Amino acid sequence: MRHPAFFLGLCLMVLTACESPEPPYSAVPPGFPQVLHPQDNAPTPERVALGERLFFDPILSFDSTLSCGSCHKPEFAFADTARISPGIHGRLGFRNSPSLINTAYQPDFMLDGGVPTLEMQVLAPIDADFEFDFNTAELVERLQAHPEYPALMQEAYGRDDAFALTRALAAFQRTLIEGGNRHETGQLTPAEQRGEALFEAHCGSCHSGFNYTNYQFLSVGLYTVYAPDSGRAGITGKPGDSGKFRVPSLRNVALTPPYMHDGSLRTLEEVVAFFNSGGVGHRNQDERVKPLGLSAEDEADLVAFLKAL
Amino acid sequence: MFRFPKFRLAAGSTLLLAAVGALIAVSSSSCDKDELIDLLVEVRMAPGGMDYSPSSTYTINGTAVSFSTLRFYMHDPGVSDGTTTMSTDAYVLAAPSSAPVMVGQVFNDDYDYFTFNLGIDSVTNHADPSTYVSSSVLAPQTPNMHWSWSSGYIFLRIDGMFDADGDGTPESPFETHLGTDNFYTPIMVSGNVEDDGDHLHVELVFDPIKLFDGFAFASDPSDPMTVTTHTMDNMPLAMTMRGNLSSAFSLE
Ligand code: HEC
Ligand code: HEC
Repeated sequence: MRHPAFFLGLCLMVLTACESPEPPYSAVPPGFPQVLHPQDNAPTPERVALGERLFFDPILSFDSTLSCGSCHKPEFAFADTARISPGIHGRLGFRNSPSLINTAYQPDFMLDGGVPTLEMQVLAPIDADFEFDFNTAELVERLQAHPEYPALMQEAYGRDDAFALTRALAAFQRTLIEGGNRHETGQLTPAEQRGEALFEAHCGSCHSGFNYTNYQFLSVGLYTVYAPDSGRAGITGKPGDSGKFRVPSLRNVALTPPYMHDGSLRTLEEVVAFFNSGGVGHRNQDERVKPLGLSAEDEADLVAFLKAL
Repeated sequence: MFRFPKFRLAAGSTLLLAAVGALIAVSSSSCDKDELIDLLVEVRMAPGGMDYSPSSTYTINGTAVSFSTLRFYMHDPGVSDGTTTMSTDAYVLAAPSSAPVMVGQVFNDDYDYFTFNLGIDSVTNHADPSTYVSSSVLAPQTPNMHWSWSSGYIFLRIDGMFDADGDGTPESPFETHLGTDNFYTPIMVSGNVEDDGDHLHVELVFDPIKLFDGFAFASDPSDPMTVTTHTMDNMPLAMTMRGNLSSAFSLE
């Protein structure tokens, strides 16, 4: 393994060799914290451009039919409107594709938090049989035989292996930063403002902060039995984690139907009606999910607010 | 193919090493026991004590099976006289017909046990495989030895076919993958480990069939989960296999 100093040296070289001004990777929307980049993956134009190209290149899937962008579509805030996005040969997994906007801020990845870094997350779709159904070692060999990728990887990272593949895709995804919705710029209509007040009262303790999530794993009581997908318990093995999924960000939520970890609720109206009903009483259900007694107008206002995010 | 270029003497041995140096410096007597010698580890897959071939059929508790994948990680291989263990911190990926691996050095002596941990220690287990150079056993492998959705290594992987319809020919797939930190298991295999002239050569024999002892292999062939485990999704089978681990290893 190479010494970290090697990479530092490489970054400095790349930065100084760079003619055009580098994009301001440190610029974030007002009120947002700085994006933290891992030491071995500071962003450079070469790295981000390589990651973007890989993200939309079907070369990553075994039969070269599917890219990351097939399930994380830019027009839907890098999520998908299919309940379950098909993998190769139309195979279906069991979770709804989440948005990748502001994924740079997540403390962990996957809806159950099973993956600790954005770099390591790249390995998951590659070998899932319902996604790319491939193998990282073989994918690297395929990339090394490509006319352009080896040089691009060498230029960006000084190596053309799984390290460059995972780093580049993560570097690109850390640039998917977005803020400044109508809630943040103070342009809400009266109905949306009423919705905002209801949201603060009933939803804001979980969907809190600049990204409308506290990043905790909680059960909202969607089912009495979570099977086969038990959520966080599938990672920790603890029965007390059954039914728990990460509180999702609600930014761009109007663009990303259907909803919940399995895409089982089709519209925001259905989601709001669900929370108003108070959940089914799952044994790990968070106590904040309880019957709210909202009127039809309240529900409509809440939906209007969600659509402004 | 499975050499990992990392080597540490067991804790406390730096001092010992200094002592040895001093000893060699003052006396010129050639006391072999104080010399360091390479520890070579070779693993042989032997289902039911027979030679392994992917096209052969074996029998597990009366059910015909074949094995397409037989692989496991060993960490910290070493030798022991029963009280003191000297280990190497190396990682070895054992697979059919792989060459002997030099895992590190130990004092030149006769030992009664070969020791290792099955699996990957909890820190390395959750580290990023893509940071290793491709030649490392910890880098992404074919067949895959990593659960990317939960970010941990597959410690032991046995895949194959079994005879579900009772015609004597294996036709239904099964997969047994053991992993997660709780399955990191110390193994002590007794047998003579002796100097073969240039090194201590350990020939470890692994019998996968022993892992299924006490397990009704095809109790319900219609339910693939009876013969498949990725550890968390079928804990009873994973625990049975873990309980049988020690008996699956012997020295040549
Ligand atoms: C077949 C559809 C599909 C493909 C292809 C796909 N993803 Fe995903 N992605 C998903 C789904 C579904 C999840 C949620 C998985 C889970 O929680 O287990 C997800 C989760 C993620 C996450 C974690 C987000 C979070 O909220 O924790 C990231 C990051 C991500 N994908 C990036 C990628 C990248 C990069 C690629 C290409 C290398 C890719 N995805 C390919 C469907 C897909
Ligand atoms: C106890 C914490 C908590 C409270 C309170 C809460 N939520 Fe959620 N919310 C979650 C969790 C956790 C999920 C994901 C559940 C799942 O996928 O099974 C979720 C999912 C959602 C989703 C789906 C997002 C998507 O992309 O799939 C929406 C929309 C939503 N919540 C809106 C609301 C609204 C509106 C309220 C208030 C009426 C509310 N939430 C109250 C924790 C909470």
